[in-house]
Amino acid sequence: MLVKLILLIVCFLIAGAMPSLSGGETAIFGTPIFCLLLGILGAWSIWCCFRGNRHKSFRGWCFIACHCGVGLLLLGAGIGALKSEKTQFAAYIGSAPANELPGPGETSFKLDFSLAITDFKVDFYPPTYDLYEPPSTMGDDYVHVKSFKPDLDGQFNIPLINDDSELKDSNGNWKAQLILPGGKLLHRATQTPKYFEATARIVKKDGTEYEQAFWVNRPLCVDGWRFYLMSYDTQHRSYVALSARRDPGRTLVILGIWLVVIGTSLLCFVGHGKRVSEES
Amino acid sequence: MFTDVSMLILTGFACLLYGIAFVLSLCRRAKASFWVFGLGWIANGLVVIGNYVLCGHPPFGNMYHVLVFWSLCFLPLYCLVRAWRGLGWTLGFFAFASFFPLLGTFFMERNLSWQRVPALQSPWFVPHVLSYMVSYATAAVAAILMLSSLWSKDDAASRRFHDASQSIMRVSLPLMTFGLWSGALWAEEAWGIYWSWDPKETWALITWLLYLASFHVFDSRGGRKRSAFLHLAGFAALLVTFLVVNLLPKFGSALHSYVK
Repeated sequence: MLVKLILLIVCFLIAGAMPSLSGGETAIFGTPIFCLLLGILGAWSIWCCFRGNRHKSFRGWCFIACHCGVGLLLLGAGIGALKSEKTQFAAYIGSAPANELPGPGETSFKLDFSLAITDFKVDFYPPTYDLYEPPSTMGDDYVHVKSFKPDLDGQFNIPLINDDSELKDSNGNWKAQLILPGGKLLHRATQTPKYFEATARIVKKDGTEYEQAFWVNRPLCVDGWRFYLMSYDTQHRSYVALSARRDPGRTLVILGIWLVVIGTSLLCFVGHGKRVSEES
Repeated sequence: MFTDVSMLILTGFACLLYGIAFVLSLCRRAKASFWVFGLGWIANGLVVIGNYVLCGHPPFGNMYHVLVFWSLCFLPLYCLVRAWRGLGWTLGFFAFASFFPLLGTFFMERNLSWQRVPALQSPWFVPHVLSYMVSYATAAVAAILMLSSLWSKDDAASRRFHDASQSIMRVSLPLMTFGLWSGALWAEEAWGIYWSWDPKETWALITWLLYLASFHVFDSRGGRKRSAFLHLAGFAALLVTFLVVNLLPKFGSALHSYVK
């Protein structure tokens, strides 16, 4: 029965993963029936733990850990889906601290603290330069010939220029374009950011203030809210794109995940030594 | 030392040695096969080191990097299952499995340089990718054994292949579990959402669930054949996750577009 439930969920997943013209295939994952199937799976996983005398052996405890983990994970995800508060917004650099976050539509989220972005830094990898030849027919587009990427020493080794310093302007920034002999054109492709970081000033209700830097993979955590640095204004660097989230189910999900991982590992690795000697 | 040409030669040499190791195992020359496999592994290892030096990051940035590393996983895994499960006779299967990913690298763009974007600069990056690579390597060998089990007309041999396959999957499944759920933890740290129903994530979940179903069915009465089919369905889903999602634009993965 459990296997049939798993296979039914797999069918839904395959349906949702298939590309379609409308692009709305992932809507299937929000349907009540799919959520119900996940709920049944979670409940069944926890119910399995109470069958038999599993608590009397170490493998039994591993089984309980693994299956409880699935239940907790799904429970936490369900709580998060229903009760979490989340929003995405642009935070202008240097603006005054605000204690309200814009929510979806006309809604907003009131905070117990004020937040402002005070600083932003970005560092780039050396760019790629694309070489274009002029078209043979007037009015046609330039023809892309080759792309030049820097080697590990940062050297481009472009045959048509004498030195890489010709690619930089007087301020040391990479030039956007360079006209070469014979009408050829070197065009700077979009630069890949190596690292970017924002600094936030947090002002609590009791008046205490502090600043904290945060970056991708290191969110800013304040009073249950987590702020994620998603992107930034690539043209003028006037704002950063943040995602804010407060998820009451987060602890359950993390606990559930670790129980699943540890329980599965112990179930698979422990207690199979006897089979080895029989097989060999 | 690590130039485009030298890397190509090393890759070809490793591929050739893996192929010879497989042939030797078919000729029941186990010791010679193991030593040739080892030599191929050293050459393969040099390619991985070269990739690391040339791109300056752990070499998991694109399909070429990943396939080269994937081939490297098989010999250590063989040594592990030989010591732990007494499955020394599966050497040929591991040699066969290491040959093909490396051969595949000749048909793709060898993008030796790679710029690691901020989202990938996380302590989760190496464990997440590494655990998946090792688990997929083991699952590949297990699938070959399971196919051999279904193909074999001799009941004893069929059972032997099936049990070996299940035994090897007990190495793969925990790593696959860690890879899957560490990805969720990493996504939460990077973007605030554990799961975004990205095609790669969804197919990875499908793969995991099918293997779980295979294990659940195995111990039940009459479950061997059903377990075998679920196992192979899981491997088919693994191939979709690993190859189809990356290589076919229609299945494109927005979050996992780094690995192309």
